[in-house]
Parts: sequence; structure tokens; C-alpha cells
Amino acid sequence: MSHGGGGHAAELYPENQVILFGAILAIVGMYISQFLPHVSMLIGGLLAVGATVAGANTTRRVAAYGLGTGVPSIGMVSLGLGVISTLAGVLLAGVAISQFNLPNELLYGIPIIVAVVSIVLGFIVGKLTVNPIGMKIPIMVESMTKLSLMGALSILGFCAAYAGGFYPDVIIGGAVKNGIIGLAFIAAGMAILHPFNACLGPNESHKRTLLLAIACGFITWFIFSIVKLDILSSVVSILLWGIVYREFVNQSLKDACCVLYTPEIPKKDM
Amino acid sequence: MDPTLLVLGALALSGAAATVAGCAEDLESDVGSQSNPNSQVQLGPQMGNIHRYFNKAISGEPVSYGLYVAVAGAVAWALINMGLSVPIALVVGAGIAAFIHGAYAVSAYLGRIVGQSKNFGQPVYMDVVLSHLGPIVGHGFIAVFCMLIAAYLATSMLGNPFPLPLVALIFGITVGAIGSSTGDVHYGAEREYQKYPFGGGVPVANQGDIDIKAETGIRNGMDSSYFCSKLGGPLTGLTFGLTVFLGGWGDIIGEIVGGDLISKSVIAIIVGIIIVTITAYLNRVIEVYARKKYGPYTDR
Repeated sequence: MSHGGGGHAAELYPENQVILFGAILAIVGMYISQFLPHVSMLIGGLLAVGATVAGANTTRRVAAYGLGTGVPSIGMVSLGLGVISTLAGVLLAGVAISQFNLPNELLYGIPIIVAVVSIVLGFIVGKLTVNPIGMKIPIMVESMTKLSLMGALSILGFCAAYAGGFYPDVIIGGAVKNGIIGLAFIAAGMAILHPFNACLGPNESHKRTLLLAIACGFITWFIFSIVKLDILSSVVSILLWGIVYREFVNQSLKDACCVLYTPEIPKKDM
Repeated sequence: MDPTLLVLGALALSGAAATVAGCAEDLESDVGSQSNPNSQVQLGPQMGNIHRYFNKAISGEPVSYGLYVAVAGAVAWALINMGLSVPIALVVGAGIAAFIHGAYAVSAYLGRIVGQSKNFGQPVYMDVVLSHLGPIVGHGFIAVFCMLIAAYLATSMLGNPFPLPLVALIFGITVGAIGSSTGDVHYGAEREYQKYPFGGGVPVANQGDIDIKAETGIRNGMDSSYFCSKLGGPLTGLTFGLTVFLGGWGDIIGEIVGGDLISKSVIAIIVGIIIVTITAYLNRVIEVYARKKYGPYTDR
């Protein structure tokens, strides 16, 4: 595969595999948050990390076309779409039940509804970036769809883990009215945009970017655990973050051309 | 005490906090070469300039400060709800945010440097990481804590209807935006290109040809921060402090004069327009004065 500006190393895992894995983990996490609220942050928060990692992986693929300073922007777009789809999906289910007398069991399908809304929204926005705006990236529509899905799943995942469920009354009262959804927007957004924004360059490697993506996901989980004042989740998340982050630092030092501890400029070979 | 006096005091305090926050934010971003100057630091090794700058490519300043202040605000909000006293909750929140800041800063440096290390021979300087991390996290803590004070005052005293985590997020984005737009002017084009004539801008041919030597020894991010602490940082603080302070006057005068909500809002909008007109006029006067005094750039 040829990349416009990035020109990075081959993929460790195929993108679609990571997307599928991340989406399944995040959706399972939401159901665990809903039905086992006492472990919502411990397990739901952990599984929501899957969505941010998959989102970061897609960011890497689309931003490798030479977006450069656009990497943070595309991450923010992803989360912006995610917030809209999350709120729309959650409220749509409630409205459908109250207005059209649909069975209450529809509420169990909220994660799926949110996912569908985000896919549709991402597809429309992706088409718009190609047609009136005229971006020439061949995988733009596909990537916007995936980014929108991952943004929505990470926001709903962390919000459901915080509020203890994804039912409209639970999530609107427990994560939207108190502003926690704003934290989900920016913290999950950073976890999606930061890994590739930090690691980009001609010597970028998928392994380092993925390690950093996992570390960023864990630190986002840590933030939510602290805000929920959940001591067990905080300890577990910071320990897992420490292990992965350490691995990232070691891998980076191993991949560098040299590591110096003194202020000296190496002589040029040319 | 008269509630109007209390509101005036809160406004003055949040203006002062915003001034300190703006200054600390700008100096912090200069230590790490975040935001606009970052692209030139990134280009340096590709043009053969092996450097000892800290390449803190977390994201743009508005996004990263939005994150830190939102984290601090959410943690402080949770602790206040738990019953902890407000000052301690604000300090603990800003402390957690500083930890997050440090973690992202180190991964940004390692990621960006290693990402072009082998092709262009840019080494990873561990002493730069260790020596710069303190100033980055420290300045960041001051900026986040001051913004958190302003956000807390906005929700508790100044009648902002939104919850603290959301207000903190917006305030963080604002301080990052002002720090990026005002402060970077004093660092990017001039400090990184000091060997070129002053006022010449950065032509494409010079991009990436950044200064790697300091007044003594090899330049690093702390030299840049020291340089910017004379004008760039204080000016950013002043800009942001004035933005918060003058922005609040509209609401205050509306509160004092107006009767119902509509007339209050109309008065606030009129006061806002008057302030914008006066500052735009002053800007124009300064610009004309500077053009007359220094004239266009000539390549002598």
C-alpha cells in the first residue's frame, strides 16, 4: 500500500480485525456496565478501552496519507460525531418507546442503535469530505465511518461505565447532565488522536503506535476511575497503564538510532 | 455583604487567576515547543539540524489544555461532592491533571523523536526528557490550577449554569487557544530563526533550518522558555486576563442596571460591543504607530 506523506511500516494486524475486536469488546463492556453496575467501571471501563485503541488504529491508517497537523483534527471530528450519535441513539430509543408504543425491550438494543446511527452519520460526513470539500484520500469515507463508530462506542462505553448503565434515564442523569460526557469527549478523543500524532514519522512502527494506543486507553480508564472515586479500578488501571507504558518506552529506546544522556550532538556521517 | 460586591470580587479574582494561567500556559508550551513552533522542530532533523528541543506533540494546545483542565475539574467536582473542602479538591484535581500531562508529554517526545530517529540520525536525549519534564509539569500545574479556580468561581459565584467539568473543559480550551495564538508569535518565527534577520518571517526555503545553538552551548526548550518569560508569557497572561475580566463586565453591568432577563442580556451585549469597538480601535492605533515607526521590512 502506498501512502502519500507518511510512508510507514507494514501493519502488524489488519485494520478490520482491530475494528471488529474493539467494537465487540466495547459493546460487551456496555452490557456488563448495564447488568452488573457494581463492576461497571472495573470491567466496562476496561472493555471501553478497546474502542479507543481501534479508533487510534484507524486514525493511524487515514492520517498516514500525510495529514500532519490534521491528526488532532480528525480525532476531534471522530469524537464530535460520537457525541452526536450517542445522544441521538440513546434518545431515539426512548422516543420510539414513548411515541410508537414499541416494547420496552428496545432499550436493551441502545448500544446497537448508537452504533448504527454513528455508522450512518460517519458515512454521510465522509461523503461530504469527498464531494463538496474535495479531499483526495481514497479511504476517507470508510475511515470516517469507522472513526465515527469508534468515537461513539468509546463515549458511550466510558459514560455507561461511569453512570452504571446505558438506559436513557441512567445515562442522561448520570453522565450528561453533570458534564461527564464532556470529559469523555476530550479524554477519549486524546486517546484516539494522540498515539499516531505522537508516533508519526518515517520510522513509525505499528507496534509502538499500538502500544501507545493501549497505554492511552488505560490512562483514560484511569481518569474515569478516579472521577468515579472507584479505588479498585483506579489501582488496576494505573498498574496496567504502567506495564504498557513501560513497554512503550523500552520499545522506543530500542528503536532509536541512539540514546544519549549528555548534551552532545553526534557528528554527521555525510 | 452586598452580593454585587462579592460578584465583583469573584470577577477580579478570576481575571487575576486567568492572567497567571495564561502566562504559565505559554511558558509551559515554550519549554515543550508545543503547537505552532512544533512543526519546525519536527522538520529540523530532516534538514540536518540535530536538536535538543523537547518535541511535545501531544496535540494542539486547545485540545491538550481542554483535557488537563477537564480532568482537573471532573476530579475536583467528584471530591467536592464527596465532601472534601474546596481548596484541597482543586489542588488534588490539578495534581491528577499534572500527572496525565507528564505521561502524555513523555510519550509525545519519545514517539516523535523515535519516529524519525533512524532515517535522520536524531538521537533520543534522555537528559532532555528528565530535565524538561519538571518545568513542563510544574508550569502546567500552575496553569491548570488557576483555570480551575476561574472555572469554580464561574459556577459557584458568577452564575454559570453549567456543571463544573463542562465549564472546566471550555476554560481549558480557551486558555490553550489564547496561549497558542498570542504566545507562539513570540517563540516560533523569531526564537527558532534568530540567525536570520529580524522581521523577515520564515520563507519556505528556511523551514526546518532552526537554531540549534544557544547563547552558550546547545539550545534546549528551557532556553526558549527563559527567552519568552520576558515578553511572550506575560503578554499572553495579560491578553487572557483582560479577555476574562472585560468579558465579565458585560454580565456585571447588565446585572446591576437591568430588570428582567431580556433587558439584562441586551445591556450585556451592548457593553460587549462597546468593549470590542474600543479594543479594535486601540489595536488599529498601535498597528499604525508601529508601521510608521519601523516601516516595511527591507533586506539591506
